Amino acid sequence: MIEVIDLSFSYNDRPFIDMNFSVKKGEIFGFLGPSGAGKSTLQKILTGLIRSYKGNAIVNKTECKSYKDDFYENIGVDFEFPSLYEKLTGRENLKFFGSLYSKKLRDVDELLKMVGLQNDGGKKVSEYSKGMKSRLNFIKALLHNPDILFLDEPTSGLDPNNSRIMKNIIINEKEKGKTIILTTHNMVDATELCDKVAFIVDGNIKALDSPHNLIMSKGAAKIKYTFMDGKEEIRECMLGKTSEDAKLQELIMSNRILSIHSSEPTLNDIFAEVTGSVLQ
Amino acid sequence: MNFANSYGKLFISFKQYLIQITKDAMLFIICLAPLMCGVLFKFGIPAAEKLIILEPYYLLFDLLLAVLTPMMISYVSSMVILGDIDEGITKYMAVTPLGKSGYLISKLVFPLFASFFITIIVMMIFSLTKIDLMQIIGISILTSLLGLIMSMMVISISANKVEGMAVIKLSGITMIGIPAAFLTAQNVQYLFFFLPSLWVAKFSIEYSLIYFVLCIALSSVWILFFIKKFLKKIY
Ligand SMILES: Nc1ncnc2c1ncn2[C@@H]1O[C@H](COP(=O)(O)OP(=O)(O)OP(=O)(O)O)[C@@H](O)[C@H]1O
Ligand SMILES: [Mg+2]
Repeated sequence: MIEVIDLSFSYNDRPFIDMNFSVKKGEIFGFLGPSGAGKSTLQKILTGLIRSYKGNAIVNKTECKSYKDDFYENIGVDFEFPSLYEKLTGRENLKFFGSLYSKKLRDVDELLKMVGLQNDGGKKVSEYSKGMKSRLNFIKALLHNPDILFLDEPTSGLDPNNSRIMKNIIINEKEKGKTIILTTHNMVDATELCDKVAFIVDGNIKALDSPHNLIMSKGAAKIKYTFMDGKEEIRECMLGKTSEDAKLQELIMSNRILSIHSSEPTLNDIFAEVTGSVLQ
Repeated sequence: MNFANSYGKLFISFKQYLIQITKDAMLFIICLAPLMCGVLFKFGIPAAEKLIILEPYYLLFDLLLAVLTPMMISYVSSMVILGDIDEGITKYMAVTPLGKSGYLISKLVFPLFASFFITIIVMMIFSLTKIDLMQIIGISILTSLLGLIMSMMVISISANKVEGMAVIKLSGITMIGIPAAFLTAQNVQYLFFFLPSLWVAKFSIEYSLIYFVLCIALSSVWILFFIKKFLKKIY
């Protein structure tokens, strides 16, 4: 669905974006990276906003720099910042943006309801809270039922409840066969949603795989245990090497363990290990 | 089919432009300004004749009226577009089937076409001198072009809507070529040669095609000068 080959781009002379990757139809592909890594810039290239790149970026068999206007009939974009008419109501906004498409649209009220805005459709957007704007902006991208969705930090700034709702909608879209590109700072969301994730730092992909493979290949599960030795002490050992930990053996044999936890590395740990930088 | 579709979208976006104007009292009143000024000039100036002799300046008043409509419409378009930039709409339009060019056509080119026709009508109704229709059409083309330049200038320079209001007032200076053509000596006038507005006035006074062509050429230079910055601002 998306094919990026030797893509390079820079805002000034300093080379910035430099990457290769591909996304299959029906996949959720996540871009993770610290602020300023180039996630939004990449989205701008893939959505045809930035056209002065080198190399190839092909979406749905079309080179991004030569998109025609009707190409957008099949693309839904949720930018990092809301783009809504403040003086219009939520419903008027959706109706207006919807009218720009020739396709059959999804039901506006149903969409509003999906994100819990069913009672706010008649309110002016200027009276919306930040999270309400994000939600409205998100369903605006779904309005014309596009095959490819570009979501730039869709869950940022939302409360856990609404964040959950959004994630469910994203999963639902995937189940309908939609291809979804999303960027996020949130490792937990990425682990849950994405089939593949790419770690980007300074415009380069440092690792690319499924969250599961990344976690399994790069890190190993550990156990942490505590015991009394005059005062309370904490120790760690690799889950695969418990037989080599004499102290642990001894504690088990003498029933002196106070607590024991195993922990898989999170995507966050892997990110730090691969890129040498911290995300959150 | 496809053709009809893309036209349909332009009109939907233009309709949105009109709705945006009705939602903003200031912009709405500005749209009525040419009408009010026309009435004022048409009846007020001959009446004032009793106090001072204004007759030699009738053509100047006519020209002021001819630039008024494009200026006001350019002002309205600039405000609407700057507002859209502030709200992130222009960027979003670029990823809809309306597209970048569709957006600009519906919110800048259509209004200036409208201003062209309105100027012709306003001139036919309110002008104080007897200008022939061909010349009115010529003047309207040129003044609409001035409006386009003004919008491009204002949008390129201002960071947001608030700044835009200040810049618009300043940009009015580019119209100084019009009174200059009437009120200053020949050799002084040429100090303003770089202002298309001077050549609009010259064209009206002398009705020579040379001035018309000169004005178009000069306007193109201005447009080329601003276009890159203007487009960058919008997306
Ligand atoms: N229009 C622009 N002109 C010049 N430089 C820009 C422009 N937009 C972004 N940049 C630079 O490009 C880099 C990447 O920006 P980008 O918005 O892609 O980051 P990001 O990964 O989306 O960050 P965040 O997580 O904060 O949204 C930054 O250093 C930024 O300063
Ligand atoms: Mg970003």
